[in-house]
Amino acid sequence: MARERDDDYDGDMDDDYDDRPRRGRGSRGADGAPPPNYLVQSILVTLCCCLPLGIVSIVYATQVNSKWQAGDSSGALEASANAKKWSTIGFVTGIVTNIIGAIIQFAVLGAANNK
Amino acid sequence: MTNDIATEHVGRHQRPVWLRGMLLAFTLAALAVIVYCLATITPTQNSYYPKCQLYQYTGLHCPGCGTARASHFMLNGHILTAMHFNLFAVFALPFCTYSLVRGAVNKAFNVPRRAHRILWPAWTLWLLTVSLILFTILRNIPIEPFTLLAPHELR
Repeated sequence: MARERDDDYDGDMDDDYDDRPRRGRGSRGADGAPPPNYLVQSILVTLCCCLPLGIVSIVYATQVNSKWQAGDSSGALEASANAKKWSTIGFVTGIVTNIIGAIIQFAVLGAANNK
Repeated sequence: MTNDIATEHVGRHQRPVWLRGMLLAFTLAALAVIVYCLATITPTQNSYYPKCQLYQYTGLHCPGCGTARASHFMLNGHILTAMHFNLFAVFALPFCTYSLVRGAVNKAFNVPRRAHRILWPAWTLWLLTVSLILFTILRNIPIEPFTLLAPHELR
């Protein structure tokens, strides 16, 4: 975060003191942009029927913002990586399960039609 | 139903501009095909949409149960009918679609992420998570007021 005001009224004694008013929740938690929280991907994974993994990644996605606002930027990055990991695993699992299921479904339909 | 989860990752890092453009065009075209199919073909027992594996084998309604039917009726302007199939999806899908498309376009055109900006305070996300889990539990209770949350036909 770039300093715009100089609050060092005590020479170089008080370098860490910053009495600027809070500009809003989250803006002072840590520097730079918050890590992506992958919330949308998690919700889509949950909606597209890979229920347990989707919920796991939604919980991680939620932690990204909590931790970022608490100033825990390494925790937020870790939660972000976990959200990405679990939503990807959920997405792939969902695709594979649904393709297998669709094949079984068509096989059953075909067998029923042939009788 | 399988939505494009990969949309967000399109054009990440420094891929050449033609590749980013093509990936974006491909993603948007795929999205358009999905939307067109959902809008024109009604999901019924006999339609060719893949059925949910979780529901077929366990009979449970997951939080996404009824999303295909809900989005079909939403695309045709019947919002209330859509709500009877999946209350959550009616609110979540427009937001998710908008967010994914905007993310893909931003990455394709190299729009930088804004610093110092949290779009949603943490408590709203916890509210969302808890209510989604509650929604999942409640819609599986087979007693009168809760069955309204499970996918059902209009009477």
